[in-house]
Amino acid sequence: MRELRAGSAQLAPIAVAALLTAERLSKSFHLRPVLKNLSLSLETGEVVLLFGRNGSGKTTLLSILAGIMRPGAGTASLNGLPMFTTDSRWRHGIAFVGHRPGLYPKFTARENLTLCLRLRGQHWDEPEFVARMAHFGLAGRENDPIQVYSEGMLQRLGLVRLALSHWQVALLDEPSSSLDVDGRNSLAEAMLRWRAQDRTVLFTSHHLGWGAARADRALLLDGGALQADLPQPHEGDLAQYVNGGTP
Amino acid sequence: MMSTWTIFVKDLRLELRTWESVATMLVFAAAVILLFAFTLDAAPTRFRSVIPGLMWMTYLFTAVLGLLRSFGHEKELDAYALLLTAPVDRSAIYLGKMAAFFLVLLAVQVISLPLFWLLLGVPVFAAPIALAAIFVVTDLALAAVGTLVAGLSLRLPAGDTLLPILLFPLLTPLLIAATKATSAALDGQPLKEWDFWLMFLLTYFALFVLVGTVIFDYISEQ
Repeated sequence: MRELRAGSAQLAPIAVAALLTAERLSKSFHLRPVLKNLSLSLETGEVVLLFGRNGSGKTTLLSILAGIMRPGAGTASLNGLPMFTTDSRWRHGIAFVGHRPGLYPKFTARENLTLCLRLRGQHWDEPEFVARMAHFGLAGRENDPIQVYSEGMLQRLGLVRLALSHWQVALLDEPSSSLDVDGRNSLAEAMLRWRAQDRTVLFTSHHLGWGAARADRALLLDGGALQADLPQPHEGDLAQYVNGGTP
Repeated sequence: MMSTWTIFVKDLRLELRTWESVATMLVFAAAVILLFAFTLDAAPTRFRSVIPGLMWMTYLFTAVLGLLRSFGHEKELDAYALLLTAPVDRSAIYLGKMAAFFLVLLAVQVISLPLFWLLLGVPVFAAPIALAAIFVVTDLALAAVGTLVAGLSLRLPAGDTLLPILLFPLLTPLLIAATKATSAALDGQPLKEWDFWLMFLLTYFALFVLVGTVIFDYISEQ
């Protein structure tokens, strides 16, 4: 049982179950450990902020959970299905948007998202696509090759991809880093909607105030290990943790 | 199977959108053939025995250029992450990309092969069926090995440097077989004289496509 919170407004306690569990994950690059025996669990319908200094292993952790990197050691499961196996079914439940959009620059937004949904085994829904593009401020840019998009527009397109895809856990690496105020508001709305749909979001952000206001929980990653698990995070507390102290 | 087709179509569509691989490969092949034409001009018949070797050496480097370009598309904006995070069998990525690269390589050869006839007098139209069989099977094997190694080097630091270092030794037996078979076919020898090399090429293809299908999942992640 976890008490969910939306920003500072407390919601009624509800029963939630562990959706994603990772145990003793380790990863090294060139013999330098980046993740050390890291364990975590994410519950259904929670929004979790993963924060920490540059190089603390946030992107590596998300990449491992997304199936882009293979852990050196450790296991994980999603809804009881073992992850990191050759059986690709577990990836149906995961959506990932990284620092870079993970799309083909020579293709249009429409072509990229068609490809994405086809690979996920989903059907194309044109009205939904047009509506989502408009929601994230990309109306009228559906048929532009995305190589002409700005960084912020690419990030918005990544969010359109998320909005159109079916998933249980979204892993977002700095989803607001290139967004303007409108874009951040659209992302915040989407996060609320996803939470209401019992979907789980694990995201990283260096905008601690913005991130804390969206998260039910914050995880501090430092030195390749989780150092703190903070319910109802507040920006000031998180900043002190990042600076090495305790609030 | 559906995802293999989706990735195959995606790669071909990217190529048709940009023509980057075909253009780069064609220009390179044409330049090398032209160079051979000038340097071997004094006595083309004397050098006839080395022509098949030069031909396959040309197509080896042409293939490397094509592979670099094909996997270069995956690096831009980290598009490869889209494939890796998709709930599809990783062997579908391998097979789809391999099939698309095979077609691109074959197309470049269909266009450039007549230059060997035009500039060097190689009788490429003398045994069209035999040569077609050799080129198809060799290209399949080239694509199988090349896609596997390119997929491996994609997630490695300095992968572009590693690609030829890893690829050339693996392709040496293939090129020897292709050269032997091509040489025999151009000389008008009957199939039974050189079917061993054709079988060798087929076996090489079958072996690597099997290995690639099995291990691509492991090598495609960092």
